[in-house]
Amino acid sequence: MMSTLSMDEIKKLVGMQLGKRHVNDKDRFVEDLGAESADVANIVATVEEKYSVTIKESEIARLFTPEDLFTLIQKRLQ
Amino acid sequence: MSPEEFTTLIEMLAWRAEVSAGRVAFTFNGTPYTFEELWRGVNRCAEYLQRLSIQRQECVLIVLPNGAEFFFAFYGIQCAGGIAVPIFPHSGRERILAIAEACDVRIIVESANIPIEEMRQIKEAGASRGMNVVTVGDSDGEMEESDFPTIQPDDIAFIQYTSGSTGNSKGVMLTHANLLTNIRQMISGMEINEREIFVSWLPVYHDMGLILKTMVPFYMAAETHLLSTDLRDVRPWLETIQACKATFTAAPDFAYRLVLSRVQVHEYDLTSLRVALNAAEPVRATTIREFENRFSLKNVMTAGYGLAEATVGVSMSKPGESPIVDVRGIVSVGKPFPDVEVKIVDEEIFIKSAANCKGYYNNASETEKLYRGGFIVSGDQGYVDENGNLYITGRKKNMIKQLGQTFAAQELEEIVDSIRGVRYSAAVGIDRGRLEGEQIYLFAEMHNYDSPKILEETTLQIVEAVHARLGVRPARVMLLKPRAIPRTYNGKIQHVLLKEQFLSGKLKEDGLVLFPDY
Amino acid sequence: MIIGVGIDLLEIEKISKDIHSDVYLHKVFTEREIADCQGSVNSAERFAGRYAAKEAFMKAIGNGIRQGVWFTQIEVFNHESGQPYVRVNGEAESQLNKLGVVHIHISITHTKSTAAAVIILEK
Repeated sequence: MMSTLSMDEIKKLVGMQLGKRHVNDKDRFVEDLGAESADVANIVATVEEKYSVTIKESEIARLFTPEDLFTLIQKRLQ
Repeated sequence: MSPEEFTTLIEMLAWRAEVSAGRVAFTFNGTPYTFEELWRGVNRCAEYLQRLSIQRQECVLIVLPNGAEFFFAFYGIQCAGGIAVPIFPHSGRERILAIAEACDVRIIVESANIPIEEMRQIKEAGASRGMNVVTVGDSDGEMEESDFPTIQPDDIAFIQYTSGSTGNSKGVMLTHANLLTNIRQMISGMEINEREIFVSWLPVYHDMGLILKTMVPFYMAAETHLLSTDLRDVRPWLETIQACKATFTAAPDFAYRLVLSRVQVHEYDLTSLRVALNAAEPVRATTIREFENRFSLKNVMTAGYGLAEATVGVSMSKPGESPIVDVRGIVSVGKPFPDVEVKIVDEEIFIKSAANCKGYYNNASETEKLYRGGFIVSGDQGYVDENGNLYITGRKKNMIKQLGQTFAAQELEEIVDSIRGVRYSAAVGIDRGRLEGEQIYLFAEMHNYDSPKILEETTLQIVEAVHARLGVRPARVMLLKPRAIPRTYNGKIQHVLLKEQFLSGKLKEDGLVLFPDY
Repeated sequence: MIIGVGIDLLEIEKISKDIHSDVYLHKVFTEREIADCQGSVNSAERFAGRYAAKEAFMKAIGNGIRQGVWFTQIEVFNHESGQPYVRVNGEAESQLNKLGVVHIHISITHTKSTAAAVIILEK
């Protein structure tokens, strides 16, 4: 099932995963949102399922913010 | 003779029938049955089974609900020298026949109250396998003089099947000696005397309800009031405790929690209770505190630990004393009963007692794994503090590892259950084959799911709470419709089955998933 | 010649609860016994005494229950003088005939809290 991709959706998803009600586009997962490596991996897994995309390990290393995530998925979907 | 001299359950009932013949052995939903009547029903069944040529130590399956008939069949089989195999009366035909085959059963005792069509079907299915399906009513009529065999203490009295999916159920073999030993251990450890007044809604086809709430009172000729097992309404249980001025009742934690959610105010006077045993499931300190507060009780709820493989009772916290809770909030289940030795090996609980079962029926490999150096390997994790108090930290199978850290499913479930709007929860460890390995997946049934906002908010709260308490976040929180989480008939979460249903997509297919939709 | 003796003692309190159940009463006592005992000021005591007599009888004839003898086959009545006497029927009667019993002696006593009975079988 295709989900609509939007910045809001991504931020909501990240918030749910981390237990945070307010997430900003440029919040860094680790430094600002308190994520640990497992959390980032789980965010990625969730995103993959929701949007039916695949993200490589090497790409995960370069994801720091919800904005980064959004951009990557957008690219993937085109 | 006196109770200390009984060597078999049949001896116990025969003696009670002589010495306490007109005394009430038990009441069922208010109807009294005397020891004389019980013995009469037992003899009738035994004699009928003899006419069916029952062999020594032959297994006979019992598919009966709580009631007098259950006891007539259960002891009737033993009186005739056979082995009783009681199973959950609402088991599907498949399970009934699977267990019947596993025990080489020729005779199945069914309830006369099942629909005619169901009876016809099971009789047919049984016949095709050489099994005779009978009812207790079939034994009515003229009784001939019978010669019952002499039962030995080491004869197997009954087999207790562990509740699991059909494939991996194991039949625990319990001898008369095992049962009488544990009866005496519990009487001593729980400080029970013949003035005790028991009330129970527990299934009599399962160990705690059968052994603690019926065999112990029969042994002591103490009053025992049994009810149908229908917890859709908790009031009969509470009403009976109040009306009979009961001193002793027992139930798993979820039953007491159910009372707390259904009975808001101090509606019942339960102050006659000396002991409200909480066992068969992890005991929560909050349950003890809230139940006692609600009903103005003090030091009445005790925490107990037991295992079918050790007959039933292993330990209980001391009646009349406050619960002992460790730094993690785990409630101690007290000290082991007299002559029960407990030792901890690699965080696992090992038990040595004369009440330890003979093994698993027809399962040499599992039986071998059960014993180590004379001790039973319980499969439960725990420790003993410097005062000798035992704590259960988890069931080995229900430990979830996330990045090197181990969490007990029950710890997580307790946290999720405390979130407003959550009806029931389960925690499972799933490894999706990714780098991070096994992760925590939480499933929560929601009371009400009107708006997406509630679902999102609940998810957030669950993640926050788990992280705040345990310093870790679950990989996923799935919100489900009520009753989506599979449970056994006695309320235990079937973690393995839930995991299967989630991974195979069945939960989603069946429309049970509320949130998220991916 | 005495061929059997039995004695029983019980606490009245224990039976006083059970006798509130009509179902229980009919399992242990006959209609006539129930009519005799109920409604009197000391009914629990009366029931208890009869109960003790039945138990004592079982002991006197030996392994009673096994042979199909049940409580309701043994009836205890009172003469005008107040003295109790026993009537048996059914299997209890057959057993007594088999044993050649011609007389059943009975005596019942109470304290405030207990009741006791003695039965002697004479042939």
